[in-house]
Amino acid sequence: MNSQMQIVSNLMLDDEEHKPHYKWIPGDLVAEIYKAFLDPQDMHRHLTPQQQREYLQYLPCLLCGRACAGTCGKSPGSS
Amino acid sequence: MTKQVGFGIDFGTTNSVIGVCEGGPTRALLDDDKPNPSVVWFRADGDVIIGRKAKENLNKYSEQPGNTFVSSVKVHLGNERSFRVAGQPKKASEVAAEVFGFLLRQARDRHSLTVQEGVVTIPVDFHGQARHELRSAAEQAGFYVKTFIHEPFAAVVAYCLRQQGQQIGDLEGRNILVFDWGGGTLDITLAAVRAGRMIQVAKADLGHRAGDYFDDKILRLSHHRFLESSSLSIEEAPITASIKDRYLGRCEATKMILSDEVSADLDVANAFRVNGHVYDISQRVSRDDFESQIGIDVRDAMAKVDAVIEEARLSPRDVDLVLLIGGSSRIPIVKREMQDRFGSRITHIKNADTIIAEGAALVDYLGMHPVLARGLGVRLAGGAYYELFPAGTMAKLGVCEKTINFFCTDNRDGEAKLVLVEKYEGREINDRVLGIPVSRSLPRKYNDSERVSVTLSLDEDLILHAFGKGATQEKGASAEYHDLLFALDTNGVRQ
Repeated sequence: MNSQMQIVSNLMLDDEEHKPHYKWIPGDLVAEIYKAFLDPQDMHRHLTPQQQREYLQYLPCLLCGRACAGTCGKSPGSS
Repeated sequence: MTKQVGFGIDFGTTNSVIGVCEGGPTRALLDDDKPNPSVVWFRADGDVIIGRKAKENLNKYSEQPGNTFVSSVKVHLGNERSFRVAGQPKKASEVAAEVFGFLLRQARDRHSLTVQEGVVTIPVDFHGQARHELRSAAEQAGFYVKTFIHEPFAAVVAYCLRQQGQQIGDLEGRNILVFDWGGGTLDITLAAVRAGRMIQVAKADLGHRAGDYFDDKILRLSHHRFLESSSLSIEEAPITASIKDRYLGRCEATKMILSDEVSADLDVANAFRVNGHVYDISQRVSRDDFESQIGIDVRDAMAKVDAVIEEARLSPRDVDLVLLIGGSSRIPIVKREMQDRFGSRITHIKNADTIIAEGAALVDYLGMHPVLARGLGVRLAGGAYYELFPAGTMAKLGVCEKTINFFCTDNRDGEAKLVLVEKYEGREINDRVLGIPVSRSLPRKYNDSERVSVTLSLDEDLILHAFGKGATQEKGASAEYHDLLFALDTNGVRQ
């Protein structure tokens, strides 16, 4: 059976071309290392859209109180 | 580079054959026009008899003290099984070496050929230790294995390169399905001919559900009927090790007759002795009896055929040719099922018993070496594919070998995940994951992310070894993969 699922890797090349960069690190982990990046005014400058999604994914929803990733009807982290 | 004579050995569960290629048509070294049974008889007097003579004496001597018969030793390679011979343990590889030695002596004595090196065929799912022991067995007998190739793929080679009046160019763009159901395994391979290259596109197997397993099913059916008709209990008439070989031998003969007849006799003289009374087994087994016993296996086999075609993203009508080989492919229910799927595209092969050995001999003669059928790379964080070995890379020690340095982008679960991926026709397939231990301590900044070094290397047995180690860790992690697919390039070789 064909599946669209893929296993996600957490390895990135460590060479001249790629070099470690925080853009490869999941957004929720970046948030733990660089709290300064989380200023809502500046977040889009520091985090890629993917990292922003990853960061917001685990925030408790202000509506339902769970990390619902917006499934309760309101986006997590929104006031 | 071509050589004067090419040799290939099909070391089979049931039969073994040496194939020979001297430039013209390939041929096989047979014993009275038949392949050599892979049966070894360690006699009480210390002599070792191999092949047809061993098989013919199995009924007579298998229960006599001091005599040990070993059949189907191939299925025991790599699983640490040993056999008691004259009170001493004998490894499966040592028994296999006897078969190799016999084949080489037969080539020398009957055909005046000195066989010292060549290509040996293996089932598609033959794991690393089994390959290692098979190589070791060949070397013990004085034969150097230049490379292994998969058995059904060897059949494709023989078919593509040595059919009467046929050139590889005639088969360009064709898809060839090989259904090889022998004594030990069912091996299915779908191969394609593209730009002069024969490529394994997809493969599947069915474990050890093959001819030997069917013999065992007949034995159980027969034994059950015997107990019912004799009113004996299983404790009174058990299948002991001493009767089993002889009984299985008769079951195999019955099975073979059922390929041509609708029923067959199954006779085992002096099968059981209970309270001084000797019981013979004398039964009539019908083809329907047999086919009902193996029905589920045949259904599963057909599901594997469908899966192989689906993996290749083809439909059955895209398969241009089907090669049926191996003794179990002659079973009428199997032939019917395949006929229903592929009709006239099933190709009659005159040399079905020897085509694998002959294909291997061709590979040796033409100096071909397997290349990777698919690109092999790793999936990076973020999902990008990073190719390490492109399709067509020579599958050789030292060629397929690389060390790559990574950093771990997320160490919170203490494991870096190396995802090895194959790429074929733009698709990423067959994810294989190796978890490599790393520190769980959060880095203070991203530059402190743990470095992970990974080494990948393909060995001479076509096994891919992966080893990875985190910079902060004392121990790394390793894995081996034996399920890669290969291709053979005919461009530039003399046909």
